[in-house]
Amino acid sequence: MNQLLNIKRCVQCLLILISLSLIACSDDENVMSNQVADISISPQNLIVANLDSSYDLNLEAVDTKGNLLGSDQISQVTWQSSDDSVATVNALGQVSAQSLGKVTITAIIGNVSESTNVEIVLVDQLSISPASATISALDTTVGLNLLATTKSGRTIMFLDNVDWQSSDENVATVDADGNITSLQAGQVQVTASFGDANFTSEFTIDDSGISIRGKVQYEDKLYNKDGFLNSQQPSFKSVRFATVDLLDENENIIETIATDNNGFFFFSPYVPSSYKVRVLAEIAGEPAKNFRVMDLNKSIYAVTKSYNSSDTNHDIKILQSTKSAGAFNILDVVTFAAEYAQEKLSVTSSDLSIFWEQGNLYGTYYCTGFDIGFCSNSTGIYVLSDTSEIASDTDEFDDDVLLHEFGHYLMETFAKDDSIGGCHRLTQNDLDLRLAWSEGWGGFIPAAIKDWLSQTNPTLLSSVEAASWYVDTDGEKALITHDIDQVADSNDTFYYASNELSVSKILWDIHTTFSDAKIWQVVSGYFPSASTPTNLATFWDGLLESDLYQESELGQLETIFNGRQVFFQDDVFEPNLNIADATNYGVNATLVFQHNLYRTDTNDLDLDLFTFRAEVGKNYTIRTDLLRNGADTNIRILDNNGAVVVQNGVPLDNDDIIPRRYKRADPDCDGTVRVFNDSNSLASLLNFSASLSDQFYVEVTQSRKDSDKTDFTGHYGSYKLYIESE
Amino acid sequence: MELTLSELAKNKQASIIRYSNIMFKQNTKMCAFILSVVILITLSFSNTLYAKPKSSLGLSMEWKGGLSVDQASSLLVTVTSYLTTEDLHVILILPEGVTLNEGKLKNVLSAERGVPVELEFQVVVSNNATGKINAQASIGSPEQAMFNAFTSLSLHTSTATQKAQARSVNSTFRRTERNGVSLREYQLDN
Repeated sequence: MNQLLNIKRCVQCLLILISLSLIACSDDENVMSNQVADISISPQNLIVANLDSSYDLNLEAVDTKGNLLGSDQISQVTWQSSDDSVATVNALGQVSAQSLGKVTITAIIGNVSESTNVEIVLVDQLSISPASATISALDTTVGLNLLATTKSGRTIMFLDNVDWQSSDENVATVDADGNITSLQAGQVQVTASFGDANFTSEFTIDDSGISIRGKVQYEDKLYNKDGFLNSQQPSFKSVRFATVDLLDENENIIETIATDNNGFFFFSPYVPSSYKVRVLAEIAGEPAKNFRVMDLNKSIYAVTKSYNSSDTNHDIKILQSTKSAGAFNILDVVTFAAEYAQEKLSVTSSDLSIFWEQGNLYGTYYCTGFDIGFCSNSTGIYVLSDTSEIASDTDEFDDDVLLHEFGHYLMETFAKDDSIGGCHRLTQNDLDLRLAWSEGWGGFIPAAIKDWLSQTNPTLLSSVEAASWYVDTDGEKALITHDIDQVADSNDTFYYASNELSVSKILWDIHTTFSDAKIWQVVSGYFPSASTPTNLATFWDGLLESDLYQESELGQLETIFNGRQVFFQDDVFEPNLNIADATNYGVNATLVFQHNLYRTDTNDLDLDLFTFRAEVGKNYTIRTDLLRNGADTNIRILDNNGAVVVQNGVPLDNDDIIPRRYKRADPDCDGTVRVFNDSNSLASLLNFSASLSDQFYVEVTQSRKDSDKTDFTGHYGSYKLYIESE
Repeated sequence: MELTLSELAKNKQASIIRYSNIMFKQNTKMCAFILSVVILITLSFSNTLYAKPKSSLGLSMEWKGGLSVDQASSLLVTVTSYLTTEDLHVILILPEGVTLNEGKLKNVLSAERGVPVELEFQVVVSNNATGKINAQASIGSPEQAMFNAFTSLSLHTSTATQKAQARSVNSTFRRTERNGVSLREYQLDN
């Protein structure tokens, strides 16, 4: 009985305890999860300099009515790091760097979560920009930035968590955003601290003249895959490295300098009554030499602003409404593209003219020289700007299109490009191999540069999509939009070495699997001395010749090329070089395999031999078809001794079924004549009637008869062979 | 004046030289002209023009039989796809004052590669209608499309206005010279 009573009491106690705990726990949790509607973490994209550093993340939460919650109401926060080996985070949101790399830190309250990206870098050197040490006027404010050069050579501008200190606030003050204001003559040391790292710069304040310092920005247009974003907040970007003139009241040049990496200019002290500052769409020295954006009359775009001695703010904003912002976007795009080239090739790009003017209807293209119709200003990039009512396509803010043309400039200037240029559509899979390579390269370069930029200076990007997206707008909407990382599998459209998107995809896959350093080594190192024209097959040769890959990596390369139906490799029937090794072939076979013309072990061009039994008196048709990747077949019929069979006094040897059919007008390109590397324009055919029943041989080689064809076909390729009899 | 034989000979020689010089100059001019044409042609042929990729979709729109106000007018939209597709979207966007009499605003059709597809719409344009009739075509749904095309028909005779606007845009800059290089200079007042 006592035992039963004890059990009852225990059960009662247990129930009471469970109820109490449910009330205690669930009530609080429900309150929390119901109260917190949204949370935010600052800063977003935190950079932590050096190991063993720690930073406090700030968290704010709002309730369903949008009211900011007090810290006592958001106490139940769970902090998580995506990789504790890179950075840990404690219960208070304090991030501690453990090793170099990137992590995502997530805060969770009930069902609501928010993340921020944290990158741990090793800082090599700090600096303050602008570095000039004299402010020659009082009550003048100059914006300072703390820059860091990492061990890997990247330059980072710290936007948050920088602590600014002035050594003498009677001489100059520095606010939390790094703005120094001169108050009286003297010396002052400004120290910028970021975590445990700091840098001190000395400034001299005097009142000898007007301090003419400012920042130049232009109004940009951001875009996504659907077109331009109609944001209420205009996006401004710095005009970097551009030529800036200080002009007196008679417009004589007093001094010429260049804006710095952040768009700041800083003239020597000047004592004027009125003056002007003129900014040119030109980079004279670094990181590019003589880059100029001009109109079709070869006038360089420039903006000028007038001031008088009482003006203290010299910032310049170039709005889209001035109609010159487009020129400064073009300059910005080719500038960061030149910086990319400088890093990849250790070269300074130079002497690039870009011609843009509203009403330029001809199109966007890169010209290598003078052309009376399209390139009247000689070499340079010409940018479309058709603002008529009929067509509204204008490309000055289409960064991907501009980078595409810059890719052509790079290839022409620092590598080799044999393309004949001209009309091309992304959907054409039968292009001249040189054209497909060149345009595929032009499709790859925007993605490669934007990918590099997203890691080095993402604030310069105008695209909010992943780097692999290419967008060409018409008006405000996207005219062409695609992701080279996810090329659509539409029938056989985006395949082969003769399709530009296929080439872009292959280069992008190599870039993501290995690195684009290897790609640059081939195009700048191998291409200029290659004996074959610049195309995907020559690029493949360069990869192998340059010895850039381990044997084990070749399989990965073949997989990348095979993904686009490009087979620069032996087929399964190799070796079938001589009669003894000839591949048996069935007459009227229903299953026909693909064969690859590649190269032999001794690097000679391939030769495929097939044998079939012919019956006396029967007629046979032997033909190739489904030619791909630049194949241009030649077939011969041989007897048992390897001699070419002669029929009615004519050797059985055929190059093209219809000579010169491969060059014809293309209705898809306004009737212009072009080369067709399609499935059968370069195919071969022989009609054969056996004079005796015996084994005969079909020899298939890449055509050598018409040597000029080797320019636009490949030296490799794939084909199918058909032996048919009625 | 009488001339000796030797003077006559000199004169003849001089005249031959003058004649030769004239011929030489004419020939030189001709040669220079031919040479410049040859150079021009050579330069034109040696140049390579790397164009941006063309869209695989063409679109045009026109009035069939002209535009009549407050009466039904036929609008012809022609789409050409350079890719065989069964999922060609054509959308018509009408401004205020324009109503659709026949046809659908949203159309999905199929197209053969390079073969123009014509769509005929009947609209009524009221007297006070302004703005543009917009047409948009895409391969696949417009939100997911790789290729789009846009065209529009303006409902007012705005050529004069456009020219005036173009002039006003052009007038915002002046041409100046800097160290022998021409500038297209815009004056900022912001």
